[in-house]
Amino acid sequence: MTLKGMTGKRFLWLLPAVLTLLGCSQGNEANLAEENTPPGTLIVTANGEDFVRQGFTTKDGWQIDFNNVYVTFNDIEVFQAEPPFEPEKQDRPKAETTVSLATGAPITVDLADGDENAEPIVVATLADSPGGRYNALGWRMVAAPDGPAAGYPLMLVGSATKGNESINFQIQMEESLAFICGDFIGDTRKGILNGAEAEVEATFHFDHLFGDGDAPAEDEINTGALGFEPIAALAEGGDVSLTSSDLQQDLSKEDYKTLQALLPSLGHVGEGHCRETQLN
Amino acid sequence: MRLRLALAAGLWGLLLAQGAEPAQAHGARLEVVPQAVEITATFDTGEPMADAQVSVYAPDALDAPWQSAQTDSDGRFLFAPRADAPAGVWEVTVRKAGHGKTTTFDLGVVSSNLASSEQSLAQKWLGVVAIVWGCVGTSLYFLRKGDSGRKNLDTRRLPQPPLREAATATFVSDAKASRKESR
Repeated sequence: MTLKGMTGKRFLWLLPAVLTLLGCSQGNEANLAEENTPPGTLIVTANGEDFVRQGFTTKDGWQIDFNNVYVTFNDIEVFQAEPPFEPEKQDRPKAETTVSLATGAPITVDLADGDENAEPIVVATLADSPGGRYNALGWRMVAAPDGPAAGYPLMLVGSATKGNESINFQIQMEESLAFICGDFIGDTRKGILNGAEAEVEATFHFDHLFGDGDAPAEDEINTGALGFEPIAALAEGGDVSLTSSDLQQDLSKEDYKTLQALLPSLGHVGEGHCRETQLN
Repeated sequence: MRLRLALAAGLWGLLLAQGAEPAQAHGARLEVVPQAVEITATFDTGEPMADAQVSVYAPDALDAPWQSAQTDSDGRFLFAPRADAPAGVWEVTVRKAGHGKTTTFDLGVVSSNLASSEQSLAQKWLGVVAIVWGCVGTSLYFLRKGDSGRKNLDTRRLPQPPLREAATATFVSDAKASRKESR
């Protein structure tokens, strides 16, 4: 046998092994491509939108300007849900990857912080989160352990003006709420973590409570809203300070029922909807 | 709000009004979309989300829309992917009047699954063939090496076996048949 013949035969004997290794390596490359989304930092923000930052006119003509909107968060969870979470149909996202806030301590933020063009408020920063598509967000609103909103999950402080009448209001809601929401929907996309940073946002729609004077009266946002007039009616000397207990006692049964029905609709993710899982 | 998504596979004949040219007497335009994804968006009340903003995101670029459009008066939107549309899970958002929802569809799931399973099957067969081939080859190599040893020995005692016979046996699984054929 010639040297050339021997080399060719040896190569042919090696060929199956080479091909097998090649096949394996192709599979590995495909898997690596799927798993190679780098980790990064998830930033959980809270947003009261322009209604809180810039004020708005209620369905019954009161100009609302907020000084403070305190919300206290706890048990924040961010999910990579597959399939995408549908709050209308599911109780909880099915997710292989869930990132939750490690501290467990409630965090109070003021949604009215900053000027009228302020960015959403940072609630928590979750470093070293696995990369991927975070398309569901859950949080609970619990009583603030301390600070100006101590004892209340939600506290609204501001002024309401209509014509020549002006009222300073302070509303302290005692209800604990829990929301689980699907994907953020808005002008920008959120929750896509591929290294560096990605945001997820808890959005609060206070126009659901008071209505929106810029929308038609027959619009759903107004037909179902409480408005501010029932609260203004409880003011004395230009001031009103109410807790949930006060509202239950002083509002008409119908208005209080409306208020209770509206609270679970406060939580959103942009324009995306949430499932409210707790109201007490 | 409900967002219903239907994947229409197969041949669809479809008239797309938005693609039509300005009205002309006796003028008509037909466009055939072989594969399309139909998205129907309604509010919780069942009312169609007419003229809602639709954004379609490709799986490899989820942060910027691949296509932006509007639903029609029935809340429907037809996504006809271009030939270069990547396979995978696409996302669609539909927004109107402060309401919005995201859904997904798997574009090319049939073909990509087939491709995947075919590749997997091919790899499996390749592995089987390679193992068989390797075993036979190795056996014959050592046999031949043994022969070769004998050959070395036999070089002295026996005539060297024909190279063609050994080589033919190496490359087929049925050495006997091969030998028969080689003859």
